[in-house]
Amino acid sequence: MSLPVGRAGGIPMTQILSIAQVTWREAVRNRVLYSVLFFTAALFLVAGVLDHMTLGQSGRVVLDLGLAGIHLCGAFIAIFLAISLLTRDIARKTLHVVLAKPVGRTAYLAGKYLGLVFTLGVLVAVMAVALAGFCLVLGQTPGLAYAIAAGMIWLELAVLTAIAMLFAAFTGPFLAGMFTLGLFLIGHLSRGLESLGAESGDPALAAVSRLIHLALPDLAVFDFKPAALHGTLPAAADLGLALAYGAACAVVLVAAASLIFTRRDFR
Amino acid sequence: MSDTPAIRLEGVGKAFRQGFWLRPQEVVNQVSLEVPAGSLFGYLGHNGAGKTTTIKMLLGLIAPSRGRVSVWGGPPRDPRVRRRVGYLPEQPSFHDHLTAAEFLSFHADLCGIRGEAKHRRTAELLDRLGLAGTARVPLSRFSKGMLQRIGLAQALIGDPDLVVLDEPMSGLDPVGRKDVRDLMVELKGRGKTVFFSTHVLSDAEAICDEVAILVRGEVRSKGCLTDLLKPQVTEVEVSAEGLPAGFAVAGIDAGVVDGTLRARVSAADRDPLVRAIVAAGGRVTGVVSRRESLETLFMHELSAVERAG
Repeated sequence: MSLPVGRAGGIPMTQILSIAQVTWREAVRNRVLYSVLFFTAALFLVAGVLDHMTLGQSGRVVLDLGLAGIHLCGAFIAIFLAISLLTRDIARKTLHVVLAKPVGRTAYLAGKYLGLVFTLGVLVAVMAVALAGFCLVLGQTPGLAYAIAAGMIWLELAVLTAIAMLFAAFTGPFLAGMFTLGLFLIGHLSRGLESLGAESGDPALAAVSRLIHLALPDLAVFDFKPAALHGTLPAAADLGLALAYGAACAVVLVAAASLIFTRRDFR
Repeated sequence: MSDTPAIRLEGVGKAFRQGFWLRPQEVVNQVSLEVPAGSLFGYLGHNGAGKTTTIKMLLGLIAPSRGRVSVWGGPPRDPRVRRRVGYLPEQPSFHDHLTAAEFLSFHADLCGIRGEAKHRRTAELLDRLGLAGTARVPLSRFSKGMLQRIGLAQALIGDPDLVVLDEPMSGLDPVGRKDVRDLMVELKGRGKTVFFSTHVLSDAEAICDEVAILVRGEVRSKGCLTDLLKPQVTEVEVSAEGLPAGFAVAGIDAGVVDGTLRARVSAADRDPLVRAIVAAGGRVTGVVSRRESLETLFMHELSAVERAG
């Protein structure tokens, strides 16, 4: 029997989307995902129990704890998936057959990133819809402010994924996880650190704290949870700033990861 | 056929740093070779000789420390060059959450094959490699032989002009080995260039046009098998029976046990030994001439390097 004949002639976007699709499939078949979703559902239930103990705050506690749960669980999943899927591809050499095809390393990372961000988007949407349903049962109607807060959590997770991929591009899973977790915590504390520095009265301390705030990703910019709790819509300028900042961070971080990735030897 | 060689390595070397403070260790050293388009080329060497490192440089997965690597006249890092290359790694590991059809469809996408052509080629390759009934089976359930076959299918999905196979017969049963050998010969028959590494010399001797022998990172011999291997008979195996006890021929080491003789002698000693057997009333049951094999050449090169220290 003769071998079948075919001819190649594709465009990189098809490759990127195909890699994204495979990443999505790999992510949804990961058991960790279901355990974290279970944990989130448990958190909602605990919030429901706590809600009965509060007076005049019906639904607020559920919403507050629920959004915090989506945020933390989402962050855990983002760090875990980004690092494990990328480092596993490298360690198991699954990457080799992909990079031996006419695929640029940047296209590979971009596809991986898009697949992860899409997965996180679906995950946040599922958790947000579940929380909204739970709130409705308790008599609290989450509105547009709630949807915006959930959307911004997703944007933050997209930035966190890019940070994780940057570290995973040059180091092992443990260190990459620790570095990303560190940046996640600092990213939420750097505003407070800057304020403390400014209020200290020490110009050097103020300058250092400001430098830290500017140099590291400011993840607090994506925090729209208070507005969702009060049911007030955030200012358009704040929203625009968060969107632009998130997009810029993601592009810069993925580009930096790609720069490292393209110079790496895959033994 | 194109004049541009499929592969050209010019003084290529690669050193890896094993630890931060340690000096880089040379894995491939001053390798120069040319693989003509349309040939079936065997890259031979013992385990750890540097075969896989060379192959990874051919695919742009590893950058050479020095020298120049070109594939179809271009740098391997260029996706346009890799469009003409198919690759099967040693001990392949794939996205095992995908089914066989999903996996091939993914690799077809990476090669830019779309639509009906993609489905047709996926089905054809699954059929050609004996995996027709496994399209919906996840790769996690595949045996080692099946993984090797699906690995070959992904290497061929883009109909590449150059197929690079790293130890393609590794871990296969005799039927699987024959299938892979037949496939390589078939690819060559279709004008493709096949470059494969192996440490199983009989495989290479059976099908290769040209070989290069790599010993400790250095190419020790290269060229056509007919040029490399001496055509003269180097040894003759003579067997006979019905010989009297104490049968001996002066100057020939040929002992008899229970009237049966089995001796390996030089080509010059063959005729005197056969005449002596007949004269002693014995019956010659076999005379097999041995020529220099790839194995003897390989062992010669290996021992030369070991002697040199």
